[in-house]
Amino acid sequence: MQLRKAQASMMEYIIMTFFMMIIITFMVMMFLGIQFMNIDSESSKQKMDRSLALMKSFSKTPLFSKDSSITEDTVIYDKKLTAAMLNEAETCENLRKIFGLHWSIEVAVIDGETEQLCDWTDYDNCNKWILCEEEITEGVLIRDIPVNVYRDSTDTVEAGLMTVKTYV
Amino acid sequence: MNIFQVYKIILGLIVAAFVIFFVTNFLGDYVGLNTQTMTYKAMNELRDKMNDVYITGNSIEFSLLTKKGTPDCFVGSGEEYTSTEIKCGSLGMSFFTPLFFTEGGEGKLFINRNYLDFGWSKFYAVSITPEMIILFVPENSAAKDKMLNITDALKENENIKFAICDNEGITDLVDGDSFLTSTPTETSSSCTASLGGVYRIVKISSNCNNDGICIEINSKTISLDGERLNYEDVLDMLAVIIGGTEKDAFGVNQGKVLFIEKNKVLKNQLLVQIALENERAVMLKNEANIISESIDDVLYDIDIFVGSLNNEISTLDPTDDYDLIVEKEELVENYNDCEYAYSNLKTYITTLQNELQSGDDKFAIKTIVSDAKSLYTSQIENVCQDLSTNAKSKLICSALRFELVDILNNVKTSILNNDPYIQYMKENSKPKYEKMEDNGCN
Repeated sequence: MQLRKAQASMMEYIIMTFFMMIIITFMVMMFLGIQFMNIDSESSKQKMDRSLALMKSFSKTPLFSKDSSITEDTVIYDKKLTAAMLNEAETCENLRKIFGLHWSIEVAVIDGETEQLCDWTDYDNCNKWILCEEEITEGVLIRDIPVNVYRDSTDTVEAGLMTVKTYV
Repeated sequence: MNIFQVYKIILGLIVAAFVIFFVTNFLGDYVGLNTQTMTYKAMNELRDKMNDVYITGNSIEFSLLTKKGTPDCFVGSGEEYTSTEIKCGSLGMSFFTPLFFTEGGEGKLFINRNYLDFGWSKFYAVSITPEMIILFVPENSAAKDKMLNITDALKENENIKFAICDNEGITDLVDGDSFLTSTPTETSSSCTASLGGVYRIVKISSNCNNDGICIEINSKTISLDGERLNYEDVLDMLAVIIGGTEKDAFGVNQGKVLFIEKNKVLKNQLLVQIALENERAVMLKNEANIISESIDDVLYDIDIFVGSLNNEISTLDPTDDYDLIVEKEELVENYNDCEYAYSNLKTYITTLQNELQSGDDKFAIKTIVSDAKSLYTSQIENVCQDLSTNAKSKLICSALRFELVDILNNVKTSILNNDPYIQYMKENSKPKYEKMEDNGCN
């Protein structure tokens, strides 16, 4: 009788231990889950921040802006964009040394005309430039910002849209 | 004590040990992770602020202080594609913005933008500094200019105060603007102060020894604890002064790290810009077409004009209208000269078009443009002034752009050979660009 009672008590302890282990494991998994979620959201924020920083920088960088005391780097110069496209591979390689890997930019003049990509043969009547594009379709973060584009041929400043893609 | 009690004790000990081990381990990791998360968030915020200052040029204050104190941060060298890196503990964050950073305890950091102006381009860098006192020791009579250069570049930084240190002690600490208006011209023979922390003692001398920061004017070098760095512009000096002699985890002076990183970013940026300028010069092909069309228009106008003059002359009476006939014949002759000069110009432009189409021999292109420009100046501008149109400005702009590109290509060669180049850019490319602007060239 006493032996049975002892066995029953041992079983109680074993079951209790088993449940305690389950609870502890569950709590640990919950904590780790929250931590991973935080890391994941921080990582997404990082990518968004990088995308935003790139967009701001490209819209104001002296590399593409028409520099003068009046415009103070706020106007993108169409001929500089075209020049960058003429030797795109080398330009992008050098730009990546400054801005890091995996991004591309697109500038389009909003002039109501059909989009026409600028190249060697046509850089006065065109209205779109694409630089350093990568053939990745998944995980692409896209941001855009309105910009001013100086058109050399007509000596005018036109409204445009700069789109920055970051490949994550 | 029976077997069951022994079993209970053993089981209790195992469970307790497991729980204690697991909880302490987990909490340890969690606390560490939490500290890192806070540091990371502070760094992230710093990056955002820095980017804002880099883009807008508006200075701001910022604190790296977290609930766990201020992380110990320094600037490290980034990889080829990640640019400069700020490292705080085991965390690193890369920045594509050129930066001069030094952290200094719990006080606020001041973030402002500095720049170099090359005329045809600008280079921006961001300074992030804690409270700092720069003590100049002008041991050389030419030191005043250097002090003014450095102070002028840092005058917007509200965290930085300036003073002179000599054998009589340290003068009153003043901000940049006040220092600029009251910079003494006397030299200081010695400064016995031995100060660390917020102080940066900057000697300006003709012969530096091996202590601290010293700018040697004659050799254009900065001595940083005895190590010589060749400076080319004021940002080089700022990098060394802000970084100072404090060593990072790898035993390298922060001043040297900032100096190297600044020049790495500047050179990369210049190489991109020079490549773009080269491409723009080659884009003259279409401009040559425009000039060519403009010459065709002029030649057509001349033909019409000369034809109508000849008709008029043929209808005049040679005895009554002798003076008028002579005058009109001179005019015809003048216009024929113009036509000849424009035809020659057309030949140059056609050669230029062919060269641009086939070769891209920049030397040949430059010669053709130069010859065309000479012809224009000597003949067309003088002989047929009333026929001058936009061909003139196009030619002058083309010539100037090629001259600018020549200078920039020399700069590129200097960069690739690690030779000095900044002075060359300031003295040659900047005036050239200004001349282009004066001529209305874009």
